[in-house]
Amino acid sequence: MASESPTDDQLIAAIQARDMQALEQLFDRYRVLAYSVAYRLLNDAGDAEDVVQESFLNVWRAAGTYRAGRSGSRAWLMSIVHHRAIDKLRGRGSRPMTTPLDDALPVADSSDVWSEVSQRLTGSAVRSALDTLPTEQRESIELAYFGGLSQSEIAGRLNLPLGTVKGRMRLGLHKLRSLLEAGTKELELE
Amino acid sequence: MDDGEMHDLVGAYVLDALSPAETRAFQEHLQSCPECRLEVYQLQEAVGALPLAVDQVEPPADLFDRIRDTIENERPALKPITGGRPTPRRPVPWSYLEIAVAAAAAVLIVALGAWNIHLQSQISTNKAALRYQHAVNQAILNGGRVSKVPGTAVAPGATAALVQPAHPGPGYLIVQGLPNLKANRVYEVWLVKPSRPPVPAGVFGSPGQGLQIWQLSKSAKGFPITAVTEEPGPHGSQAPHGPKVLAGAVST
Repeated sequence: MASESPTDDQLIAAIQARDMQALEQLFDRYRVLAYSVAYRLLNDAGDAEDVVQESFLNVWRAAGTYRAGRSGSRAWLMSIVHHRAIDKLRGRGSRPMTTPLDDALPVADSSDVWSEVSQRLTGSAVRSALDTLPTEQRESIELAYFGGLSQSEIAGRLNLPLGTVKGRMRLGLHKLRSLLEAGTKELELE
Repeated sequence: MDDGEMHDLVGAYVLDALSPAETRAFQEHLQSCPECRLEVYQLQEAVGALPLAVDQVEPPADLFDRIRDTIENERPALKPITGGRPTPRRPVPWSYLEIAVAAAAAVLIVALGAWNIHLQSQISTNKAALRYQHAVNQAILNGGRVSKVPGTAVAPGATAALVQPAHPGPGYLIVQGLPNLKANRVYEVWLVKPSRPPVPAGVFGSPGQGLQIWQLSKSAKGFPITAVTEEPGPHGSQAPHGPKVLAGAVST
């Protein structure tokens, strides 16, 4: 009988117990995704390597702050990578800690539905969902996430009121979430 | 900013598109707003899918070896303290006289226990500061160095401490009593070696009334002096030009 691979949550639990092999397994699972995001933001191989290295060091040191069943391990890990890449991009070393490692806020667990959705997602499904968004919402999300711009910088670049940019990002992300859910349900029905 | 306006920041928050000041304000709001907390986690799910849309690029084969080497070299390191890498920027010479004055004026090391008690008394409800404080305590208990960085004549009521953990990670600056800044101004931290241009180590905004703890962009090891100046925001300067508000020797 073939042995099953450990889940991300099992690996993170092992990392909390200082299991270096578990860290290496998690790294192997997400190294390409993490590096690709950092490289897309920074457009510099050395900086992207630094960001991935710092991010997995952060995972090693702060694995205890991860709680299974919230936004998912991939979202947690990628938020660490993205946050560190943004720090490097903006040249600031002193930003306040934000959500990736913050376990201080009580919150209802995310739905089981999303957990299943997340496991089924593919690159083409996400790109397709992004392409389905209204152009102005997609543009604001991409400038922020892939371009590393702040909301004020986006408002300046697009010559829009700040409130409009805030609304587009928020509405766009809600719509993206719905599209991704709907897309994976369609796959189930096929 | 009222609650409705805070609610509008949810999307920008999960996309890392807020300024440091906006992030802090929103995090404070989250403490008392369960609706926003739920929305944050819902939108984080969507944001967590975005990396899949990126063209996939293979990282160098030895990247994990570097991570493992760093961990092996820092044991028994402090779990809560996060890593950091220097942000190279163009240097400009720093006045040697200023270095000498700063070094002469500085008090080298604060008695750790007394300093801790002092810090503890300043912290009330700021949970983020408490978590940092916990990390600082651990840094001290694990051999981290603490150097007092007193206020200059420009900011006589200010005081700060530079904490350098034992491992090679970045240092922390604990600050209180700095004057609030005008719009578009920031405080910038500098690490200084004699006869060398000062090295920027991060910027921060108006510190508010309470105690603030800032993670620097790099380790303070090997730098005998640190200083904080007021510079144009939001990114600070490439060399110190503004008034110096804190300066002191670093125990390395």
